[in-house]
Amino acid sequence: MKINLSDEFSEPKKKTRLEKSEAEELKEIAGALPELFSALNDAIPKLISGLIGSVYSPEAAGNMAAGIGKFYSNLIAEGIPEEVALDMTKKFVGALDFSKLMSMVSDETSIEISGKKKRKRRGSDNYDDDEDDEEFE
Amino acid sequence: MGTARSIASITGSAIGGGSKLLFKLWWSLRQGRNDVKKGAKEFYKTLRENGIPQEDAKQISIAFVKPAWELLSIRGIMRMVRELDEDNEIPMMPFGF
Repeated sequence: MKINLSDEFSEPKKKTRLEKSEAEELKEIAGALPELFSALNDAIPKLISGLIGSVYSPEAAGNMAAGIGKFYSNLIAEGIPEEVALDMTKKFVGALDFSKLMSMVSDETSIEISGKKKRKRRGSDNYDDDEDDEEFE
Repeated sequence: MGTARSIASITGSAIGGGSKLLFKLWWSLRQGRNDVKKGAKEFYKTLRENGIPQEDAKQISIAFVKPAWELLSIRGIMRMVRELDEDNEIPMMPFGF
């Protein structure tokens, strides 16, 4: 009889406890959400401007173009015909692969923003990066 | 009562914060495109100064600008985020967006 009474009382108690914990959880989320949005509002413009600034700022673009131009003018100065030099320059630019450069920079920028270095997963799980790094040092 | 207030607060924060985030994203994409334009102009000018013919300089500049132009769109940003998400922790949006 005693056991039955305690069972009857424990059910509503459990329910109210569960409701309380859910309410607390919702309160926590409501408190954390503005912080999350403000962090995102700061991080996203930084990510985009860092990404573009590192490759496409007038200085960086000018330097890259100067390198390409120098390559071309050196070929001309060495006596290579203009058409061949132009073809070689185009092949040189093609080998630069700007899209790869962008993905490289985007990886770097995301690391800077998150504040930690993300490691890429390799094919085998047993492969130990640390050991490999130490070997090269 | 507390729960209802929390839900209202979450909804308000999501709408307000989301709109602000979207606006900031749009604004930074716009600024990024302007920066890319400036960089491309400088790139083209330097190529021309070094004696590369006009048409070829134009083609090289387009090849230089294309990846950034593709990235500087909402879809480009989404693609970049998906590439960064190596562990597939971010769920796919509906309609394959």
